[in-house]
Amino acid sequence: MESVASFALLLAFVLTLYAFAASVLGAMRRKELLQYSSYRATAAVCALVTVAIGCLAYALLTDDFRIAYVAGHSNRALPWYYKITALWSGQEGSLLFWSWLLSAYGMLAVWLNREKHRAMMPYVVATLAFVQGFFLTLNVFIANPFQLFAMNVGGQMVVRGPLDGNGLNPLLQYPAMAIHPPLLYLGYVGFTVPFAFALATLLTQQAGEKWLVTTRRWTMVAWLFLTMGVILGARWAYAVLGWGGYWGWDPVENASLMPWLTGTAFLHSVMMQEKRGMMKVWNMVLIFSTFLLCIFGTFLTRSGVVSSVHAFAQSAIGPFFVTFLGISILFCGWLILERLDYLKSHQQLDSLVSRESSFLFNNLLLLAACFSVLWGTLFPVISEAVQGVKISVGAPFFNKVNIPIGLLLLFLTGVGPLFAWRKSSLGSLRRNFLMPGIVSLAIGAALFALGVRQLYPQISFILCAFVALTVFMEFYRGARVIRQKSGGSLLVAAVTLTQRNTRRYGGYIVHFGIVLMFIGFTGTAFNTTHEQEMRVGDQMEIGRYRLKLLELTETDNPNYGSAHAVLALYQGEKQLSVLRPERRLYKASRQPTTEVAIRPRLNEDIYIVYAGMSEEGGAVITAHINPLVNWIWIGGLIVVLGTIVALFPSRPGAGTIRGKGRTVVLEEQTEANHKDEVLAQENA
Amino acid sequence: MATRPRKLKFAAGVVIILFTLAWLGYSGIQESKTYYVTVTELLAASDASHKRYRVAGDVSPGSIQRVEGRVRFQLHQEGNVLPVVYVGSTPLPDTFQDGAEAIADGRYQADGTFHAETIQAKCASKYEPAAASAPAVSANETPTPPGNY
Repeated sequence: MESVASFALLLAFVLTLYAFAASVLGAMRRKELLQYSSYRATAAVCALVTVAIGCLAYALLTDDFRIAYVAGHSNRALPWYYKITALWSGQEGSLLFWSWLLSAYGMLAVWLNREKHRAMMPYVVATLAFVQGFFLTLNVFIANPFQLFAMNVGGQMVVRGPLDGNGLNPLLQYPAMAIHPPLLYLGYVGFTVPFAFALATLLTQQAGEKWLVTTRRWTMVAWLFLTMGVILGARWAYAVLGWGGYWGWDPVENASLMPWLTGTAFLHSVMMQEKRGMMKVWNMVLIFSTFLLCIFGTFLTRSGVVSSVHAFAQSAIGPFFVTFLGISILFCGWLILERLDYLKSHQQLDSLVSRESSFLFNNLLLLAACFSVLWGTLFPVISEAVQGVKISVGAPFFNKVNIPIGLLLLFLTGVGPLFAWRKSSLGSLRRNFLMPGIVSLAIGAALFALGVRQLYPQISFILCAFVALTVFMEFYRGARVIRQKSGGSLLVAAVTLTQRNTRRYGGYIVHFGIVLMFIGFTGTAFNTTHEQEMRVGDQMEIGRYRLKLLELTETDNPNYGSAHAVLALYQGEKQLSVLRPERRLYKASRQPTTEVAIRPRLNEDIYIVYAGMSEEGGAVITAHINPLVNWIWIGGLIVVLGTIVALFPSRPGAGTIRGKGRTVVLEEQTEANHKDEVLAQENA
Repeated sequence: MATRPRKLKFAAGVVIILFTLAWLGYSGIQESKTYYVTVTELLAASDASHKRYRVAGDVSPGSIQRVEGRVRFQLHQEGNVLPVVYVGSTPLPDTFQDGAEAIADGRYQADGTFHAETIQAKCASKYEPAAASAPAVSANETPTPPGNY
């Protein structure tokens, strides 16, 4: 079994080297056959890595503890679905998983684009093969997941594993955790494809913008997965870690946020290149940095360079990642400088109140956020190198910088899409912003009257209302025009509108989701926490609620033993529900965990932790009230939905009756409005 | 062409934003910067009471006491002992046990105790086993390796 897998990996490694050489040679000598053989090699690599990861999954499912990785990350009593997730819970497995996803993405990218982008395809393959080669090097030579246990039996070394494994980290035994890493990895790995296309474009100096469409689509796919991964990670932290929050500015969390920020910046500024031919260098820098940050994120997560006190000591893969990153940065930097002429833009900024300028500020802010996160995450490393002392910075640093950035971005989310290209007229500003401005300020005043007095939350709520209204108005206006021409209800018209320009209206849906998430984030400002030692019958007051400890129970199963605290939740005299926070002791890993009890509601969560028993025999119960937190997950769902909508191709003729000779009267109305504006200004 | 003042306006906007953020970042760093030290280094430091520290050490077995809702314990390293009082609000991690490797964030007090606001702990027994140092299995126990070919 393991020899099949190891052989498959080795063969995949060799074929990857071949794919790299064949594609480069094939492109330079214009040998089509050689190019095609490199495409085939890519497919073969995918098949071989699939065999390897299949073997590992099989070994995990069948409790093959002779394999060190299986013994280290699984145990017999583990449910089968968590045995599968053990695949990516450790270093070796997750690196193999990376390789596998990359090989699949690579095969898909080659298969879908080999005819469309003939000239640049060999370089795309070469780039993918280079990255794949790096990961396969790790899989084969450095962190091989198929290492066996050898044991000394009667003077002979025999392959033999322990009777049972060490078990999966209990913190990972949670449903959201089962899909969070694959999604995050799909995002991380996915950014390799747009990176490969961008690199190939620069190398071959493609004319036209066709490559940009392909690159943008792939970026959106990767961005979609990364977004889901980040949000699910926050959700997991909230539901499992038991400190009442969802984001702690931990290096691993930061690692996933950084490429998200640069990827988001790219998805916005790429529009400047498509519509106005601007920002070409900048877009290259963004797509390159996003990819590099993904590799860097994998490195941070897997090498323990920051969180560990002993940098690099824990893992042999650190220096390899540093070398790979170094080579990639140097090559990308050199290539951009070399191709500056090709990237030259002939357009310039016309006005501060324009779509272009809003994109520029959007990029500036996203990059500033990314830089601050990078700076804060690497602060211990930087300070050690510069001052010789290891200094870390905590949540106050990240919050202080990123809350204002977030609010400014939220503001741009509202105004940016409604600014015209080049220059917005005063009339259009009034038409677009007067109503949302007044209504959102009125909402702000109402909140102030209700007692919301903190500055940032107040601003945030006003901006959320503002952005939501502008999004709503865009849909309403477009839908009204369609309804006038073709009848039907406004809702149907809004759907038609979205189908006609999925990218634009999908984008609005994403923005609306972001607004909901900001409402959730803002709720954090109103969190309350109370901790109390309780005996059976004791009561605790928190906010408008009252908790009564009914009983303490214990249960047992093969995977873990657990203790529950059963608490009744009252509001006034009315019993709302019974909550059962839990403490578990996992048998294989001998690790205790806390299982939070949450009563989720749209206005606020009641979040109860059974923290443990005190010396005096009382149960220590911590209760949190977290207002609005669920809007983060709801908003996240809407962001995902909007991105999927934007990924569908637009159907400009949607809503008209096909085949009846009726011409497509309805263009993309709002887009047309903006064009009219621009024309009107130019004529004036 | 009126590009010059326009560019100037734009540059001014950028500069204002970046300076504000830099200032916020600087004050954020001052507020939350934490020095990484070991127990020995902290006890040797001269003006230890002004800064925030992240102290790494091992929890002395038997030293964990819960008094009046407060958790007190000792961190030790190379024969040096640091008394710690946990003053944070979140529940202590499950891995916080006798002998665990712990990291405490907080401030050193004039009375010689360390007031920790957060504590992270790594269970002493839970290290990823290297492939060579497998858990001991006696020779007559034969694990059945399924799917062996």
